[in-house]
Amino acid sequence: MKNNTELTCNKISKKYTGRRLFKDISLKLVNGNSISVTGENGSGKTTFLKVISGLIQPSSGDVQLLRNNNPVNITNFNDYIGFTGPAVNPYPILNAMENIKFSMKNFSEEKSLNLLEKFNLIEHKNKPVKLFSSGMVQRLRIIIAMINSPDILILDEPGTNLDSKGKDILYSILHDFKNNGILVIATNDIEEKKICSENLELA
Amino acid sequence: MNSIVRCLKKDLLMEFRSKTAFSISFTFSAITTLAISLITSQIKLDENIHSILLWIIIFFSAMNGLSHIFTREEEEGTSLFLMLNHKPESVYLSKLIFNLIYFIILSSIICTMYLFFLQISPSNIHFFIISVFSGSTAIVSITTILGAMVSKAGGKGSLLTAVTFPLLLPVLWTSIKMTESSFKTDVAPYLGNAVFLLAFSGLVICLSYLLFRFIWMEV
Amino acid sequence: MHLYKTVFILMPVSVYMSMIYTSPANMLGESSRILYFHVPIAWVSVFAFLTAGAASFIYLFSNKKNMINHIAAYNSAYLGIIFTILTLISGSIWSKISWGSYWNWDPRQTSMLVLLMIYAAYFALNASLEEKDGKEKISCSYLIFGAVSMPFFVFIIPRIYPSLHPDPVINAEYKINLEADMKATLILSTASFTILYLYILNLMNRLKKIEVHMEELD
Repeated sequence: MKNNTELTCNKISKKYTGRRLFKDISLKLVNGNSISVTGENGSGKTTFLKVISGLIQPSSGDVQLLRNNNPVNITNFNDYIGFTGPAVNPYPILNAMENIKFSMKNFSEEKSLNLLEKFNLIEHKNKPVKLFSSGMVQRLRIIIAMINSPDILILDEPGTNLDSKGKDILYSILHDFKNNGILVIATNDIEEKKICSENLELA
Repeated sequence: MNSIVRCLKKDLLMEFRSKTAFSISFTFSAITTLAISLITSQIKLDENIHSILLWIIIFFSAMNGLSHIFTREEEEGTSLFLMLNHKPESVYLSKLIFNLIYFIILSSIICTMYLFFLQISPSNIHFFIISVFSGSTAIVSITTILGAMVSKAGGKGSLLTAVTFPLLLPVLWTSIKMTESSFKTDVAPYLGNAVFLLAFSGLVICLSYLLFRFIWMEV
Repeated sequence: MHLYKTVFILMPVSVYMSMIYTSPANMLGESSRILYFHVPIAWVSVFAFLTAGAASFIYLFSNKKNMINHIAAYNSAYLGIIFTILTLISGSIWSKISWGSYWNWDPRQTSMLVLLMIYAAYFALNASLEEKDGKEKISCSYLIFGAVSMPFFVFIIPRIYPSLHPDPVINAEYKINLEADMKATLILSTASFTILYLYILNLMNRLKKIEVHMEELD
């Protein structure tokens, strides 16, 4: 039984002194919705994702998360959101399994092995992350974003550094996910954009 | 709770693997102690001078080692990863516990070395231990939260000392007085100072617990 | 708003009273008149600090982050550092006259110096943070720490260590030991300096608000 989740943005804007990133964005997402966020470099895609995942406060407007019609406090958003992006770096000195253990709420060996298997990282699970190639790190990022079975998955450029095989795995997983949860992808890649049913263009 | 344990485990594991922070601050304090004892070996120092020198070494070792736990997250770019997976409160508490363990070990090493090389022994050893312990706790509680602030400013080397020193002054004054009286034979130990230091740490820790969210996150 | 303008009347009156109306103190002579400037300025520097701490607290813990509170905290600290420097200068002049040297490491002198260091550290921290790091929140948190530990310096340390200060304002019995005319002048002077501080703070806040507003119009 999947939870009934609803993410609402109410006229959010973000600006830094002398620079406005985006203005008055309103949007409502429920289970089964998927949206891609596109825009030029520097248009504020990453900042937008951080705002809707409760990591940054918007300059004006507000973000709400409803779970089974109960509002979630912004400080607890991370319990229901899986977020990853190029700035999310696993600890280089720890190995893949230790990084997973660190981020998993209730550690289950089976589930982590299962995900590692899916992303073909199973034979590297005891290798320190600093020895990983950038594509392998990207796979690990996605595993960690999904490890706590979030209701909402927010991905910033998920396809970066992945080879075609990695992208295939990613796309099939995202296709499965979007039927039940909310999927938000910031990307300029046409393939990734196609996965999502809607598109938000940041100017 | 589970979250605090996971954070603490991770920090301990990383420290055991790399040993950078500990070896650097240990070497630093060893060198300072040796330098002081080399210079002062021919002179007989008063108890208050001993106490001041000891606390200066402890203070600068704290400045050297205690902010590392936060600057490492910023330098390796892992702070967002930590932010995503754990609540600010558990991050704060785990880092505080780590720093406490770490600094109690470091300051006991410093004190042993100091007493050994400078050839003095406190007349009231229990009181001496209490003074070092309570002083170190107060130093850790302030330096941990200020280290978090400074790490956000890009860990600019001397900024931590500049920011911490004025707030640590009452702690240092009190600790120096306590340690001094533990060296003297004719002074009865006065525990009020230890109570002051521990109460001060308690206040700072409560306040840090409330404020850490604003320092660590942008929410 | 008009309340602040009373400073234009109060300040000349208190200058007149402190210079001409009151009689010089018994032991100290004419130099005692510096009391009516030194004590109010010292009070304002502590008060500015507390205001900055309170404004920071409101800024951080109110649900709607109102920019004006963090602006007020910054400006209050800015005025506070100026008043602290003035306190130290007027204090050391007086100290030279009555105790014979400019600097004595008197507990009160020390506590004012520490206050100055905390302010300076705040500005150093503020300058090295970037907006993206959450500059406002971090510097506000530091001001709260400063305001919380300030009583230890200003009120507790001078009590514990023997001080050269005459302690005319607050002493062990919490009474003001001054003659009536001196007391009245001191209170009036304190009031006018407090209003002066509030007036300048208000002007600075308004100025900053206009600046922010103009930036938004661009």
